[in-house]
Amino acid sequence: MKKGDLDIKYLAQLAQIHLEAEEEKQLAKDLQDILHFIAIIRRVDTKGVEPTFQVARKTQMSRLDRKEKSLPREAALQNAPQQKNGYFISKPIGWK
Amino acid sequence: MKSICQLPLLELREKLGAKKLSPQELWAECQKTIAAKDEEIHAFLARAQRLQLPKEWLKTELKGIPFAVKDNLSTASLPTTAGSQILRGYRPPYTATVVERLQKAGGVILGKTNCDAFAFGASGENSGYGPTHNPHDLNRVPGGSSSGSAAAVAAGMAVFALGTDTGGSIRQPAAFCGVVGLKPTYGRCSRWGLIAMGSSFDVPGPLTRTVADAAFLLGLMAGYDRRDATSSQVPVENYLAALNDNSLRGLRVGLVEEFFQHGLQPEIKEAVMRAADILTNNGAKVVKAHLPHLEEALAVYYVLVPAEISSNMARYDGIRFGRQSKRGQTAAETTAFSRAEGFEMEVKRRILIGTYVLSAGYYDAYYLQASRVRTLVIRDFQKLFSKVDVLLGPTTPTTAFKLGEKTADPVAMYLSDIFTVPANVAGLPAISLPFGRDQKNLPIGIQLIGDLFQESKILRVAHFLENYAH
Repeated sequence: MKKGDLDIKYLAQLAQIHLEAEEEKQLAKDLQDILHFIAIIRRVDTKGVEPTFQVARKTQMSRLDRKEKSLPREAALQNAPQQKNGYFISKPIGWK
Repeated sequence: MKSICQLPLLELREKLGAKKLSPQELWAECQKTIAAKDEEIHAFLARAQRLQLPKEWLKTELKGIPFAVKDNLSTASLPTTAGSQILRGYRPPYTATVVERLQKAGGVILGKTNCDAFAFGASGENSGYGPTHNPHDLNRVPGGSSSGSAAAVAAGMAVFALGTDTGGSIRQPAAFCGVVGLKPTYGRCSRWGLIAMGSSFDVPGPLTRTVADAAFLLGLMAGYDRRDATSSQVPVENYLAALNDNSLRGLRVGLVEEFFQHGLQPEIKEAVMRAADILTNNGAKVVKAHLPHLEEALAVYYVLVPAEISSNMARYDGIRFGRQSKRGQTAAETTAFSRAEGFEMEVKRRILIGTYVLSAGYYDAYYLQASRVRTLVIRDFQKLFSKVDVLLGPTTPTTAFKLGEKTADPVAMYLSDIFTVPANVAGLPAISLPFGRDQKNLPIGIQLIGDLFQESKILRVAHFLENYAH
C-alpha cells in the first residue's frame, strides 16, 4: 500500500475475508472514520520512549523444553466440518 | 416478590451451609426466573439441561450455587460460540481455567450468556444471535460486551456470572445493569480457555450483586496457571477478609479531572461527587488527579486491540473448526468465504483495522507508535499511584442508551469505552459499582481503579461506598 491509501480490496485479501461490493463500500468509510479517530497518537512525542508489549509482568516466563500431553486426535477433530481417517479435509491448496 | 436468586451469593452460601435452602431449590428458582424473563431479555445462548451437583457439595466453597458463564469462555459441557455465527455449534474439547476452578469450588453452570461477537462491542448488539435487552428498560442496551452476564445477574436469573474485560466489557455492562463488575489486574486470573481477543488486555472477572461477592469469587478464580504464561505468580490475597478493615483514615483518593469532560451525563458526575464527599467525610483524603493521555489511551486501545485481534482471528479458517462455506474451489477460498459468512460486521471491521495498522509501511506509524504511547499512559498511572491509593471516577459517560442508537456510528460506540479503557491499557484492576439512578431511573455506575495487584484496596473502598449506594 502506498502512504495515505486505504486499499480495502488489498486489506481484505491480506485478512483472508471475501467482501461483497456493498460491504466493501461501508467498511472503507468506517475504516476512514476510525483512522481519523486513532490519528491523534501520531502527534504524541515518543522520542526515546520504549514500547510496551506486556503489562503486569516484568520478565518473560518460559517452561522447560519437555514434551507434554497435547489434545488427543479425536478431540482436535471433534469440531472439524469434514474429516477422514483422522485428518482434516480441505479443498486443494493453492490458487486457481 | 423478590426471587431468592436475587440474594447475594454470600447470603445464599450461608443458607445452603445451614441447610435452610437446598441447591435443588435454588436451581429450580433460577430456572423459573429464566423461564419467566429470558424470552424478552435474551441473556442466554445455551443452558444446562439439569443440575449436576458436585459430590459432597456441602463441604465446597460455593455449595452448589448456580452461575452463568459468558460465551467466550470455553466449556466442554456446553456449546461455546463467543457470540459469533462462525462458531455456531462449536463444542470446546476443554474448559477454561476460571470456570473449572469455580466448578471445583462447588459452583454449577446454569448456561452460557450472550455477548458481542468475540467480545467486540459496548452494547451487546454485535452478537451474531441477536441483542440482549437491559432488564431495567427493555428498549435499552445492557452494555457490552458481557451483555448477557450483566443482564442475567440484574434480572435475578443467575446468582453471579463470569465476564471478560478487554476495554470495559465487565464494568460497562455492570454499570448499565446496576450490578457490581470487577476487572482484575491483567494476569491475576488465567486466560486459558478464554477465546482470545486482545491478548495483552483480556482478563476474566466476576459480575455480582455485592462487592463482597466479587471479593469472594476473585479469591476462588485468581492465581497462577501454568497453561497461561502471562498469568501471575503474585500471591493471591484473602480479598474477603480485606473488607473487614472499614477504616478510611489515611486513604488517598484521586479524582481524575479528565473524567469530568467527554460529555459526562450530569447525574453521573453528581454520583461521583457524592461518593467523593462520603469518602472525605469518613477520613479519606480526596485530591485532584490528572490523566493527561486519556484520549490517546482510547486511540492506543483501538490500534493495539484490533492488531491483536487480526492475528488472533487468523485461526478461523473454516477447515479445522467453525463454520465452513460451501463456496470456493481452493482451501484459501474456503477460508475467505467462511470468514465472509461467519464473521459479524464489527469483527470484519476490527480485523481490517488491525491488518492495516500492522501492514508494511504503517506498522511503525500506528502499531509501534501506539505501543510507545501505551508506555506513556502507564507512566501517567505510575505517577498517580505514587501519590494516591485509588482513583475514583465514572464507569461510563452516560447511563444505558437505546438499542440501535449508536450502531450506525462505530466511533461513537468506541467513545463509550473512554473511562474504562485506560485501566486495560495499563493492566490495572478496576471495579464498577452501582451508585444511585438517573432521572430515567436507570442505574449509574461509579468506578474505582487501583495500582497493579491492589484489588484489596479497590474492593475495600467499593465495599465501604456500597452502603451509601442509594
